[in-house]
Amino acid sequence: MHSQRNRRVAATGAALAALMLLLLVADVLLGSEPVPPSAAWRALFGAEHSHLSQIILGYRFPKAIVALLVGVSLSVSGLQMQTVFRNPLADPYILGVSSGAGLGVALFVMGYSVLGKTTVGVLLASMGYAASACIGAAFIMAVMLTISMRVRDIMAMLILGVMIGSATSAIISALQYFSREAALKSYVLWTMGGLGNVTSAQLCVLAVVTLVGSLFALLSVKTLNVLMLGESYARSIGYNVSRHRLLIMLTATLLTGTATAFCGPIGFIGVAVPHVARMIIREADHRYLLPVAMLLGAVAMLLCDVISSLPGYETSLPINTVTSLLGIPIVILVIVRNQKIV
Amino acid sequence: MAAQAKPAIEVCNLRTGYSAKGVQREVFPEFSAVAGEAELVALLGRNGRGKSTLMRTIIGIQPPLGGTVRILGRDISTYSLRTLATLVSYVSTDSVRVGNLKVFDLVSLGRYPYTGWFGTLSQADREEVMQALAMVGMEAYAWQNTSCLSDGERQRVMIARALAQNTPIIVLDEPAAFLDLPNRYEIVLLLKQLARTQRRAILFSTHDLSIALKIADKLWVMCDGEFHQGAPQELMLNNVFDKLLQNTRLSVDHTTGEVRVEIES
Repeated sequence: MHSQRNRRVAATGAALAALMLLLLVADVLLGSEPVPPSAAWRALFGAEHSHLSQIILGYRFPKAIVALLVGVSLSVSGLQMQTVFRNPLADPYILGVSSGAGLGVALFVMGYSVLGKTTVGVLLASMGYAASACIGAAFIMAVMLTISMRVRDIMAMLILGVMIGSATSAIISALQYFSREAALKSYVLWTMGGLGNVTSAQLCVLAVVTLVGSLFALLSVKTLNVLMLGESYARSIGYNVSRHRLLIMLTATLLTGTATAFCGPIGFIGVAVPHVARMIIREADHRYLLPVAMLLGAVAMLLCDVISSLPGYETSLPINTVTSLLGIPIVILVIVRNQKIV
Repeated sequence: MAAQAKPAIEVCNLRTGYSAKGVQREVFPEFSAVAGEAELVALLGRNGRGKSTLMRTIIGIQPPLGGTVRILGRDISTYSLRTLATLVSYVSTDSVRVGNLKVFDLVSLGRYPYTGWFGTLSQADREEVMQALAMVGMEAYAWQNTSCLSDGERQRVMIARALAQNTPIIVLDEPAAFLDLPNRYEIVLLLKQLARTQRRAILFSTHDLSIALKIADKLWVMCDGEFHQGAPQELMLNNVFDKLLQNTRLSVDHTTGEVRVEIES
């Protein structure tokens, strides 16, 4: 039974990894200007410098890698939040943590302009985006965690998440009202998000955070399994719940904050991917669930990126539109199929 | 009286309750109690008398306001959380509802104090899990989803999880609540059998006086401001149940142990 189970999950993982590579290639090749595979190969591994190689090396390939990293980040933090909050519909977007990141960025971009400064160094700026997004995300995460200690009701938590999201939007609107045109423009551009506007320095930060965050999540699978039982059970099997919970939520915050800082708020990947992973492998054990959710997150985000820039169109759809249209039906399916959970 | 069982849980001058903003809120006056090895002890008391608080104190989740709890002869505060997890296991009133969670996986969480960093189970751990399931008669359900279980089956699985933790003491908070009548008896009879065959000290809280009187070896009764402990017959002779049921229309028949209801005509 045990080895049979390991084999089944490993086979699923291998299939997802293959699909991920396939979509990675598709994401590089497809776009407003389709590239033949041979040209892409030469651009990536040859010494050729053409218009095409510039598109591929300078834009398409980094964008595909960003999609992969963001998919992993959001799925890991979504799964962590679902387990820690013991709420199947928890995710950074729904509980307002992404809005918190947005508030952080807004304060950084527009607060700077209110103070009268408009120019910031490029590197300083991108670090500032990431740091302010993480601080904003951490603030909302702390608020939600505190509330969740008192409010046990799953629906009430979700409604509070929506309200906190609205409150942060209101604060952002007020900030926009007072800020200068240039700052307003750079904030609005940020909210539109996108996987293609990430600089190589930002890509490095994103890669490191995703790698470290995922590694930490993989190391904490045992704790995540224990947290499924709830606080009193976890303590009765020898777990210092508050410390573990804090560490896990810190990881989720960093993952969400960094991804949101560079790509804008991206909804529904965090909530939908863990559920699709559960549907595919029919396991709740995080030793199986987490790696599958990571692979599936990369697959989902790459798929969304391929869809957002289908060939034949000059412009591409905003990535958040595609993830919403793909993710929301899954969330609805989860609610309808399993009403016991809410 | 028979020879005293070796004490597993000793409660000495315990004051339980909460302290908030520097103000201590005591839920029940100071009392002492003992539960011995291989003994099934039922904890009785009306709502709000602090049964759950007492249990949370005994499993080490909540520190006492005063007095001590001794587990196997040693003060509970001297144990680390990890060590305590190998001595006392707990079944709470929280129901665990996680989609796709297999019965085996839920029970195997009881092995976690013994497993390594990733929680990987050894062959011996797996055997312990299957044994725990066999003890509660649920081994055939090992690979079923926990969400497909009935309430009675779910409670058996939760007890198996505590058994897999392999502790000399098991504490259960209202294990028979929400169950139908036959299942209530079945669960408590199962606890009795586990106390006998496994020589574990089992403490459970209940509101079902007749089940407690018929099956438990010993009762801990939290009345209005008074604590009583002893064998069911002993407490009956001391009119403890009359105190428990005072100002209600219920009373206990001292010869049969049945609960009587006074109905106005």
